Amino acid sequence: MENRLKELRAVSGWSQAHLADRLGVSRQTVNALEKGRYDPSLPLAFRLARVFSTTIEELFTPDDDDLGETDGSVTSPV
Amino acid sequence: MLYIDGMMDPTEAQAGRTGRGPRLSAEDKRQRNSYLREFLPAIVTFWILLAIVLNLVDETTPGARLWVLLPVLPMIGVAIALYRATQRSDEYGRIVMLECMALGFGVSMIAAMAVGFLGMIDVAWTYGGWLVFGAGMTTWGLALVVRNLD
Repeated sequence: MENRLKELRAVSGWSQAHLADRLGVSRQTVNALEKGRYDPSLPLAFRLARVFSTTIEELFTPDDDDLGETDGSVTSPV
Repeated sequence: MLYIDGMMDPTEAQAGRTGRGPRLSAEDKRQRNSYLREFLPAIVTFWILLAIVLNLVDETTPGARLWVLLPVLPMIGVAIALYRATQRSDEYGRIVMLECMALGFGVSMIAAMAVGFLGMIDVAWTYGGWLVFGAGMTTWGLALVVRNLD
């Protein structure tokens, strides 16, 4: 999953540690999120969206693998 | 130019560097301090008891089998400190710690199996247990170091 955390953090002029403080997580977690090594839980994703005053969809862009579809279409669960 | 606490030079921020501002978050410091507060007394007690046992206890000491087990007691405190540190970690920290523990556990089991099989052909190592312990702890420690190189 790709994300815009590094970009938005840079715009805000925050260090990783400062963002970590605002989220209540470790700096290592912020670093892992920015580098795309770790996808956050839903509660953390909501906290990130709130910190940057945006939406989860604006922050994260799923890969094809995340969607489980290669053409981006959504199939009915039934 | 002055920066508000936690903020950084915008050019550094653009580059993603974290040279300005605190390197550790408040959560990092809280977790580290809590861990050290629980871990240090236990490990210091372990080293003191180990020194006592190594210097004062031998086969002729009355109750030697109990005395040599004395250093194991503070290790209970170390185990509790590690368990609580895992509980206090945030979601990513917990994953990292568990992955590293899994590696250490796997290597320990392989070492234990190797020692066990060697025992089946009467290759008995007096310090086989230490080999298992050392292999597991070393692997766990190295894995943590590598994962924390960010």
